Amino acid sequence: MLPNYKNHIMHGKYLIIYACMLIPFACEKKIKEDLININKITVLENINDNNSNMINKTKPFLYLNSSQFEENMDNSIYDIAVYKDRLFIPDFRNNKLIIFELPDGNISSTFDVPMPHGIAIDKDGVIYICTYRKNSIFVIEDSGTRTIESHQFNWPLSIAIKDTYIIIANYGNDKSGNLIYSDDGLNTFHQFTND
Amino acid sequence: MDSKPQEIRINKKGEILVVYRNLPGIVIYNQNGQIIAQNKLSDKFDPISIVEYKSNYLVSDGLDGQIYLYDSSLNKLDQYYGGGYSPTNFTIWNNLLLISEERANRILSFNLEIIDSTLN
Repeated sequence: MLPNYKNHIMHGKYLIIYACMLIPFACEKKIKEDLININKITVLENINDNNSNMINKTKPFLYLNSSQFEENMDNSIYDIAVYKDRLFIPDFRNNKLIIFELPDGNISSTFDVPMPHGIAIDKDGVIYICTYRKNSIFVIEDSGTRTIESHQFNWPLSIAIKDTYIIIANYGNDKSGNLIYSDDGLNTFHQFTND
Repeated sequence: MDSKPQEIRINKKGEILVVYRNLPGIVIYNQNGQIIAQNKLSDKFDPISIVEYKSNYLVSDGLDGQIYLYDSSLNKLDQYYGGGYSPTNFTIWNNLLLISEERANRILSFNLEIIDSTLN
């Protein structure tokens, strides 16, 4: 009985098509690696710029989701805050707020928060987190968690608090954003500037 | 300023600090919304965050990944290497500047004595 060459040819054809499909992904990975290497080269060149500050004087303080540094494990941390020897990290990629004890770096607690971006903590320890495209402020307090929504939120990215004054940066879903503030515990909002 | 506010903070005097993208700039407002100081940056600067340190300001640049030091009038004083994986934001704890990053799974520390040596 003759071997079924037709099937073999078909399998080979699919293998070639499959390989062609993988090439763009491989190229993209290589481009990303090259970009990272370019950045490193740029930094190294800057070291020769007679500016000692361009030498890396940073040190790893703690790692997320791992016991060691993992290149390009992209946690997308956009804000960070300290309150009473607790370090608060909104992990945007993993939709979590992670709270670490200082100085040992042990995880104290975590909360599920959608798209956590900017964070601020008031003098009583109440935590406010902007949820970016979810258009809300997620609040964590002793009595539990709550979500504040307002038609005046427009992709809120960042929040700052001083006493009872709370101001929020709306990044905006079109060409401009704006700043809004509240002085009544996020019940009502006012335009800060006309930008 | 017709732009995208990326980060907002309140300094010890109660003034509002804002960094804007697209039309990049740093602006300090009083609580009435009046501009006290501003620095319109070039389009080669993408300001991501701002933090006050001893009445000066540290700003991260999303394009070159460096940390820039400005005085209270927003004049540039110095710049520092930001760790290499897109520094996004800062907080101060004891004598350390803690730095978050976009493209890595870590928090960095930077000894503030290095900045003190610029300020002194």
